[in-house]
Amino acid sequence: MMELVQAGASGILMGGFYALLALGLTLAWGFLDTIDFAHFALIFGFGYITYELATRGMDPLAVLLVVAPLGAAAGAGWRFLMRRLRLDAARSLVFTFGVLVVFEGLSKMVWTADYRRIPVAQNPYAAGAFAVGDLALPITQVLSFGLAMLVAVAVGAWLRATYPGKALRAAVSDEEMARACGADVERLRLLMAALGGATAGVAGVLIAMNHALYPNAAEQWIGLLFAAVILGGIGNPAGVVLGGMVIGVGEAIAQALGATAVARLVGACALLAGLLVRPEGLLPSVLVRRDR
Amino acid sequence: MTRWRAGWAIGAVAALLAVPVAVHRLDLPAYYLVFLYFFFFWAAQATSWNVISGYAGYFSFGQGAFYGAGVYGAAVLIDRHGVPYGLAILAGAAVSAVVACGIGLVVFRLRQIRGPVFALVTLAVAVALHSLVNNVGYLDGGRGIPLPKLEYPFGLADVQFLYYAGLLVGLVAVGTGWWTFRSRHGWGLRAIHDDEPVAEGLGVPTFTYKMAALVLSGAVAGLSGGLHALQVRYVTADAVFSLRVPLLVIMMCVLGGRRHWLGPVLGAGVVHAINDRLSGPGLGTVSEVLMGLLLMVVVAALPEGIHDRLRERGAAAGATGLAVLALAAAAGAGLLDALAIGVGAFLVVLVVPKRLVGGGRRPAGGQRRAEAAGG
Repeated sequence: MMELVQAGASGILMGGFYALLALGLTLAWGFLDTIDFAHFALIFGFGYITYELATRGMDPLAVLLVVAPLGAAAGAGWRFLMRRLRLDAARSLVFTFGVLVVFEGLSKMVWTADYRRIPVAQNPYAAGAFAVGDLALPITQVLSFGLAMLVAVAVGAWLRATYPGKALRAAVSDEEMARACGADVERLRLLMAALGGATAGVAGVLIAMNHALYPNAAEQWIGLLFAAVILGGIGNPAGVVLGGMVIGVGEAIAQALGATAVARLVGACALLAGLLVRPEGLLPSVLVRRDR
Repeated sequence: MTRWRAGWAIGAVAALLAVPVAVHRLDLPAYYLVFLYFFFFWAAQATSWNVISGYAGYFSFGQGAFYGAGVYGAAVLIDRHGVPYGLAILAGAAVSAVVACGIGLVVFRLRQIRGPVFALVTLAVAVALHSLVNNVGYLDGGRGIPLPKLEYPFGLADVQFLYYAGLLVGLVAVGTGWWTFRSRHGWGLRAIHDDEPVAEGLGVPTFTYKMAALVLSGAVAGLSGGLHALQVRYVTADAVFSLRVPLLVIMMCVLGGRRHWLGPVLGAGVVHAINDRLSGPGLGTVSEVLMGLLLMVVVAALPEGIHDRLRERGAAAGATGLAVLALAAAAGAGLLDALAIGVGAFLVVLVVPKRLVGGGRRPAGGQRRAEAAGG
C-alpha cells in the first residue's frame, strides 16, 4: 500500500515536470497555431547550457536567472521568424521537426553522442529529498512541480482575467474582429512566445539537473508531452498540468506494480483513451474556435 | 497522349528489368543494384504514406508503425516458425493492414481527430509498438532478430533477388497509388482533403474511403517492410522504429508533391539520390543536419512540391541537372556522386527562381488548401 502512495506522490510530481516541459507546447499550439517541435530543441539547448555552466561551478539554480530571460528572448525571436514564414499548423509541425533534427545533429557534433550529466559535486540538489511522513519527495521534482503549478496558474489567470489574455483568446476565435477592436494581436503573440520560451529555459535547467543529456533525448519525451497537451485540451495551461499528472501517476503506478513494459505505454494509451472519452480535452476549453 | 505515357512506363520497366543483366555483363559495381533497391523501397514507402496523408490530407507521423509491423511480422514468422519467406512477407503486409485497420476504426470514428492531432496519434501508436516490440520476448525483447541466410530461386544472388523483388513491390505500390489516384476513391480522398464536411454533405462516404486508404497504405508499407527484413538481415527495434523512416518519407512526399501519384516517386528519387551519398562513413551527423535543413527549406519554399513546379520549369531544371551530372562525371566523379550533384542542381533550379520571381508569396489557392489541411 505504502508503495502505491509513494508511487502516486512521485507520479504527481513527475506530472508537474511533464507539465513544465509541455506548457510552451500547448501555448504555442493554442495561441500561435504552431506545433512547435523546436520547443524541444530550445529545452535541450538550455539543458546543455546549464550543463556547461554548472560543470564550471555555477549553482544550477543560479543558472535559472540567466537562462529564463535568454529563453524569453529566444522564444520571441523564434516567433518573429515563424510569423514571417506564415506556416499553418500542419506545415509548422514539419518545419519545426526539421529544426529539431538539425539541433540533434549539431548537438551531436558539439557534445558528442555520450551521455552528459552534471557532476554530483556541482549538483547538490539531485540527490536530496524532502521527507513528508514516510514519503520521500526529491527536491528537483518538488521544484519543477512548484514552478509548473506557479506558471500554469499565473498564465491561466492572466488568460482568463486580464486584457491581454482576453485579447489573445479573442484572436484565436476571430482574429479579424480582435484586430478591429484594437487588440495588437501580433505583439501579444510575441509576448506569449516569450513566455513559452522562458518556460523552456526553466525546463532546460531542471532537465539538466534531473536527467542525463544526449542528442536524441528529445525523442523519448515527444510522445508523452504531446499526449499531455492533447489530453489537457490544446492551449489550456491548467489542462496540461492535469494531463501531465494523469500520465505521471499512471506510469508511476504501473512501475510500482512491476509492469515496466506497460509503464512506457501509459502515455500512448492515456492519449487514445482520452481522445475516445473526451476528444476536446479533460477540462473545459479556454478557447472558443469559430467553426471553419 | 495516354498511349505515349503507357509507352514510357513500359520502356522504363523494361530498362529496370535489364539493369541486373547489364551490371553483370559489364562488370559494374553491384552497389548500383543496392542503390536502386533502396530507391524502390523508398518509392513504395512514400507512395504508401501518400495514399492517406497526401491524397486525403491525414498527415501521419506513424509510417514507422506500418513499416515496422511489416518488418517484424515477416522476421518473426521466418525466425520463430520457419515460414517460407514469400509467405512471411505477405503475412507482414497482412499484419500491417490489421494495425492500420485498428487505428482507423478508433481514429476515424472521432471527427475531432484531424490534422495535427491525427499526426500525433499515429506517432503515439508507433512509439507504443516500439516499446511493445522491445519488451515482449516473442517479438524481439530487445535482442534483435538475426535472419538466416536464405536460398533464392533461379540461383539468383542476394542482391539480384532483392533487386527484382524490390522492383515488383515498388511497382505494386506505385500501381496502387496510381490506381487510387485515378479512381473514384481518389477523387473522394481529395475532396476529403479539401473540405471534409462539404465532401460528406455531397455524399462522399468519408469513413469508408478513409478506412480503405489507411488499410491500403498499411498493406503496402507492410509488404515493402517485410521484404526489407530480408535486406536488413538483422532486425532491431531501435533501428526499425527510429524516426528516420517517417521523417524521410514525409520529406520525400512533401518535396515531390502530395496531390499526385508521381510526387512520392519523384521525391523518393531525389531524396534518396542525395541522402545515399551523404550517409557514407563518418558523415552520419552531417547528413542528418543537411536533411533537416532540406526539410525546412522544402516546407517553407515549396508547399506544393516539385511535381507542381515541373510544369513551369521542368525542362530547364532537367536540362541543368543533366548538364551538371555530365560535367561532374566528366570531372571524374563516380556515377552516383555525379547523380547526387545533378539532382541537387535540378532541385536548386526548381526552388530558387520562384523565390526571386514571385517574391516568396504563395497563390491564394494554395494558402486556402493548406489551411483546410491544417484544421
